[in-house]
Amino acid sequence: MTISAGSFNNPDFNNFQQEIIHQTPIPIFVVEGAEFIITLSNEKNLEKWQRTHEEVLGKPLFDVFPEGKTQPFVGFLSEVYHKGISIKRNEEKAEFYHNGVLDTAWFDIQYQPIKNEKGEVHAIMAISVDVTSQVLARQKAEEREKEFRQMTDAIPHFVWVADSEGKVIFYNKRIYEYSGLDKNIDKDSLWNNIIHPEDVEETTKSWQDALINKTLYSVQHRLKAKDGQYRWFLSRAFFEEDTENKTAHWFGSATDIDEQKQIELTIIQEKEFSRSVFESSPDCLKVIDANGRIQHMNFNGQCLMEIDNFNEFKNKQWSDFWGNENHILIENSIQKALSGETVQFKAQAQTAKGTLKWWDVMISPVNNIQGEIREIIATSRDITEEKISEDTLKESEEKYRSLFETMDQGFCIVEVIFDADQQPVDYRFLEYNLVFENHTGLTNVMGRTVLEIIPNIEKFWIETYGNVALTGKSIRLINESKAINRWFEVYAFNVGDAQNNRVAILFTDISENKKSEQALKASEEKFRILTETIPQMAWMSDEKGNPEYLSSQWEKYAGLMPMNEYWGSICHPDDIENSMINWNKSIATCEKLIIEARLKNQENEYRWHVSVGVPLRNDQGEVMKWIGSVTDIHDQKMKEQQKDEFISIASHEMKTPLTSAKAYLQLMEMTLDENHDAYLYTQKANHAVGRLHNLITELLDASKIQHGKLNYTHATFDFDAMMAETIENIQYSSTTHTIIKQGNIKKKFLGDKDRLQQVVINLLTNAVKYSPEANQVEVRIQEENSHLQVSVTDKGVGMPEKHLKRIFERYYRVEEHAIQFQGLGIGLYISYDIVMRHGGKMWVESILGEGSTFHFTLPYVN
Amino acid sequence: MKKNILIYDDDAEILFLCKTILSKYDFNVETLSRCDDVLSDIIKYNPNFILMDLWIPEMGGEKAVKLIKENDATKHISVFLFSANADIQEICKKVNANGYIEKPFDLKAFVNVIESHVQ
Repeated sequence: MTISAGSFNNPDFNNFQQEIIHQTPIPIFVVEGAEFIITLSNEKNLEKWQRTHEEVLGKPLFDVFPEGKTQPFVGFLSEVYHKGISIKRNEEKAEFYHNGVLDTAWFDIQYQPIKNEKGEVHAIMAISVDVTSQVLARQKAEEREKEFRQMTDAIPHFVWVADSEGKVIFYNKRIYEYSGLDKNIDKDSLWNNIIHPEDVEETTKSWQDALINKTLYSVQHRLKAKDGQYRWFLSRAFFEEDTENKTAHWFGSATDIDEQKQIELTIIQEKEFSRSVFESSPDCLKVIDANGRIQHMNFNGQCLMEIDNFNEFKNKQWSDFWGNENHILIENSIQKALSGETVQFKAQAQTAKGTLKWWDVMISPVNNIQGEIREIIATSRDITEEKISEDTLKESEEKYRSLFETMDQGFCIVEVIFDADQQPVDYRFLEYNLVFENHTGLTNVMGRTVLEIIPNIEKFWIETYGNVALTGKSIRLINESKAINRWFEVYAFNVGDAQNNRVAILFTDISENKKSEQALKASEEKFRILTETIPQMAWMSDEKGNPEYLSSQWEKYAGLMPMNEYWGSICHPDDIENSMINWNKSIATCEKLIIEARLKNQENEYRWHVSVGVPLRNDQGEVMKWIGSVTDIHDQKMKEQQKDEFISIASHEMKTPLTSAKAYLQLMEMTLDENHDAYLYTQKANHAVGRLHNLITELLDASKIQHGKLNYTHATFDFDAMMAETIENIQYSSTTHTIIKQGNIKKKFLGDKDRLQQVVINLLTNAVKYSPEANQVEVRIQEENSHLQVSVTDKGVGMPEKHLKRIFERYYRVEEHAIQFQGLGIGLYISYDIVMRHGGKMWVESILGEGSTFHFTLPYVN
Repeated sequence: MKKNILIYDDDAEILFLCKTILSKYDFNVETLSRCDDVLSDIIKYNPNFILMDLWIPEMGGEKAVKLIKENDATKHISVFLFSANADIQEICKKVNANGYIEKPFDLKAFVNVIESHVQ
């Protein structure tokens, strides 16, 4: 290699450095002085200049390249030389003559000042890299892009280009024109400004999908125009890879499809509208094709038809839904509809699940665009409910009618006729039932007015029904029609509209009741008159005991006072409770009332009365009233009391000598030898005194029972032992009869032992006494659940049946036996009372000449 | 020492009878056909046992027994009612008498009751 030194003889450069400069593949040259004398040029630079060393070294630069004088290099070099700064320029255009032709080239230049020890610039090192091919290529690309831009700007669509990452690098001007957005807006945010908010999501998703898969991007969305209106666009983009240039881009476009879209939407809306009409119908709507097959059915229809899955029924023959009896009807109807007619009918058909329903069906033809009938629409309305209620109504109407026909009450409907002043003047019979004639005695009244039939009918009836028609208020009444001599119980009510003046009348001829009512009144009147004439106080009360009538004797006896105060005012305080108990008992049981009570007269004297009342019953046996009388029994009562008092004193007085007699007999007995005859006589006398004592005691007891004064002392005792002891005693005194005892109760019993023993003694002595021919008396003791029963049987004289009930009365004696058997007739009376007082029962079974059995029961009480 | 028995009864026959019987049994028997002042009678006769007829004149047996039983000096004396009245049992309880003897009586029972109640 050769180093061109020339006048360049600088100690700063050593050989090594020069060698590097020469070998560098970058063109380098050095100029010195204001003349820009070329002092160094490396091989690469000479090659670029297409000059030799000799042609350039030592020569001013612009002598070598005179064309450069007018180019910017002069300025650059001067600036470096004078100011001592370095200058760097890229792609500086330079023009040089080459073989007589001006060549244009581009350089990246770098001018570096070289300074001496004094810091003065004495040379400039210039490095200039030829970038011509680069610049030319770029210029070409720029030109192509410009053409692309112009081309894209010429087309009506939006066009855009994005890099492989999706970053938009280009939009054609249409987007800006359309959106009114500034060209400087960030390209990526441009879409955000114009896509309709509702479409953002779908757009983003489509774009992301396309980016990832590098597949076609296609989406319809609304983009906002500068006037704020949105229009529909079809945006599309595809990905293209330039393998040669190793670049990849998305090329996108957006086409205005708004008009098509609007048409499409309108169509959808229309379809949606008809679909919603179809679906929203409450009826069963079906589209049926020309072959009678069901194509569609609305959802409500599926519900009505109880179809769970319509697909199972699609393309099924519609006529299959109908029973055989309707098959022809359906086929014919479909044919008629296909020929353009509208058909309507009502028929029964089963649903998919077999429910039988009534349908009101209308079949209409459907014309297509060509005006042909390819399908028909069948609308079926479920009228089952109406049908049922219609039937029910018919049925109830019939029932109603037959009710009025079969019932006993008369029934009619009349139309009230009013005059011009709205006063009812007459009424006309519109309808009436069979028994109407029976109740009224009127015949052939249909359509006629009441005045035509009964000219003298009471105004009352016309006014009453007129009032019902006018006010609409129903009325219940009982009245007589003298014109036809009948009593009626009437219920009249307004029927139908208020304006039609119709009144329904339900009525009963109650003339008979009225007559008997009047008869009753008359008989009551008679009763009153009668009661006024008798000396007793008579009374009448309602079924509950409230007084309704008291004869005038009450006033005479006790003075005047309100009817319902009499009893409470005049009854003796000691008798009130008992009288109320009896009264309430009689009202509850409807049994005859007997009350004995002291009633105060006007002189404030209490006198004994007996009030006897009996229930008065109607035909049904119900108690309607109580009637009764109150009789003064004071004198009777007093006599009885005197008698009882007498008995009481007499028995006491008799007992005194009896006491002496008995005591002396006993004293005598004690002094006598048992073998002595007198001893036996004393014993007999003693026995007689004992009997006398018993008789006196019984007599006294009987009079005490009459006043409830017989005393009882209740205690627990051994019933079996009492029976055994009593039987033993009687047996001891009887030589003729054997007493046979059967049964035990094996229980303690609560009661008055002495009194019960008295009962057993009474029955046993009677049994012995009244069976003189027999030698045996049977006693049976039986145990039941709640009570015990004692039966005493003799084979004696017995008694006729008529005596059985009265045998327990005081002083009652069986007349047939009166002479044969002595007695006071009070033993059974006392026994009966004792058993009653223990809550038991006593009765007798007897056959005359064969014997009697007396029974008594005693309940166990705790 | 013999016990004193005082018997009230308006019937002389009964008084004689009772005296006859009880005399056989070693008792001092006093009989009165009236009862006007029972407490004075008691002071006078100092009885160990009193048999009181229910219907005794003047005051009546019920009242007489009450007086005896309400007086601290006399209430310890056994007093028995003595009557043919059927209600004697109730009256006995009512006046708080020590017991009763019903007329007519059984001789043995009469003597037994008095022997067991005399103080």
